[in-house]
Amino acid sequence: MLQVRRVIHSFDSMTVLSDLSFDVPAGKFVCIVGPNGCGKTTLLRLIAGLARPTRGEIVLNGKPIQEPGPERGFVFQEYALFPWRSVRKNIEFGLEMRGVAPLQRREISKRYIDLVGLRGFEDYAIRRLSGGMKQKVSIARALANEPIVILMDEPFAALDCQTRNVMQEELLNIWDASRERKTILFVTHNVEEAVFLADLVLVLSHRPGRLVEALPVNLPRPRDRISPELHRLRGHILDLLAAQMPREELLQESCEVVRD
Amino acid sequence: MAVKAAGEGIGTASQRVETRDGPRVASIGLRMLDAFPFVTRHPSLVTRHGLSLLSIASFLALWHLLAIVIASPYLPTPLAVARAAIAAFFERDFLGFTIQQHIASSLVRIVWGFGLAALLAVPLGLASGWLRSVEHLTGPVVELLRPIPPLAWIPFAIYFFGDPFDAVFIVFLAAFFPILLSTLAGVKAVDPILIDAARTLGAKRLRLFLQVVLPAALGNIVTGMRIGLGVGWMCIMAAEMVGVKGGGLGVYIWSMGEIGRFDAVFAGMAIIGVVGIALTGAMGWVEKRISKA
Repeated sequence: MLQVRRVIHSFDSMTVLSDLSFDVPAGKFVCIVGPNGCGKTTLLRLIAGLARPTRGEIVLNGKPIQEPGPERGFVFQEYALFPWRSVRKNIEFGLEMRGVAPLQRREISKRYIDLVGLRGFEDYAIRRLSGGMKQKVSIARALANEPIVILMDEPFAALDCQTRNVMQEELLNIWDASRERKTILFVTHNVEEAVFLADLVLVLSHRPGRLVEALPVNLPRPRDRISPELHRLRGHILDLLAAQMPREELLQESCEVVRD
Repeated sequence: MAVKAAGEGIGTASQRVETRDGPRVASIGLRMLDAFPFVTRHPSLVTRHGLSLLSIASFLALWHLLAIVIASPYLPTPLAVARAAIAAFFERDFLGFTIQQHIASSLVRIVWGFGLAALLAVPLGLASGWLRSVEHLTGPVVELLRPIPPLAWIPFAIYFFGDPFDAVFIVFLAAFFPILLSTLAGVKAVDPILIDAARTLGAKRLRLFLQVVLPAALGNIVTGMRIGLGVGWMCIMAAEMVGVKGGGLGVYIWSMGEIGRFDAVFAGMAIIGVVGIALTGAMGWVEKRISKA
């Protein structure tokens, strides 16, 4: 059980998360959606222990989170792989840090290389992999530490549409195949992706981020991407998100985009 | 058809290029180039070697011509230089050294000076890049000393250290700052997301530094070393000419100049160039070994 309790987070004078509370039961696949800049990434970093909340606390199985720990894996949008290490060596990084013996490391990394379907690429340099393969390495690297929670920050955002769909399905398979169901917190701005993957979708408001609605998705898997239920859910979430942004701000943001 | 026969680059380019005057003019201009079939963007291996040979041969020919026309005692012909170079290997000069001994003297200074610089600058750069307090502690002194060209230290070095440490000290100074600054920049340029990733995987303090920061900064460190070696090689020549004792290639060319043996001066210059190439090559070899590991 992961509990986020009255978390407030500010950078200097800007409040990014305001009074956010929710619980995630163990083994659930939770997607977090919200407008850009609503603090989705910040929330994941707080849960990872990469930053401490300004106020409030985050508790995992009764223990308050103070710093990063191997029981919480992180998958970054930018892959964040170590370019000087091979595929295998990247996956073994966390095991090395924990002092696992080389033979055992090899055994564990082999298992996860097989799981994500990278057999034959063990000794490849990272730069030789495609985006989808890189993200698989990153997922395997996080899994090799046997975390109970996996935090994923827009992991498929940089992939093309077809690859993204394949990766979503493979992620669900991997999640299914892990010995104990892991809790996944998956940040995305892609509503379609959220309703396809999640048991529970958390909709956050525009900055400062608050919880607008927690929507359970009680549909069996594998899900049909174009089923009316998913379509209806998607519509509902998009309405919620659209209501989040005052009109002037929408205009302002689009101007900023133009200026960039 | 003539266009096509001219082969790869030009032929296809002339069909595609369109200028304001229309494609015809461009095509004529390019067809004139067809008279020189080696003028392509991707010449073959044979052509490439041919061109290199042509380049060196024309350089030597031009030099020879100039030397004969100008007929100055200060500008020897390439042939005279070659003779002097060969002789230098077998005969002692008036200082009592063969050229091998001069080369060895310069190399020993470079190796010591550069080695000490790398040994000190890399750890210091790593520490000040990673630990803010070390940077604040060392930064001001570094900024104070860095703008002083290493050559400005020569008088002090000669009288304070004497042979052979004066020259080693100059090379040390010359190599130290580029290595230090490159290493520092390398550590600062480490992508913070890699550090975050390592932390979520359980890396802490020393492990984080050794397993993430160091390998990520390695490229910059090696670049700093290469620059440091180059600057060191430049400065050692100057230091040797100004008055460092005990032989050295700089001593050699300066002494030969003083007695008007300009064939030997040029021979010495050529040897300095060759040794410089060898040093760069050695550095490149080390670089490759490091990046493979």
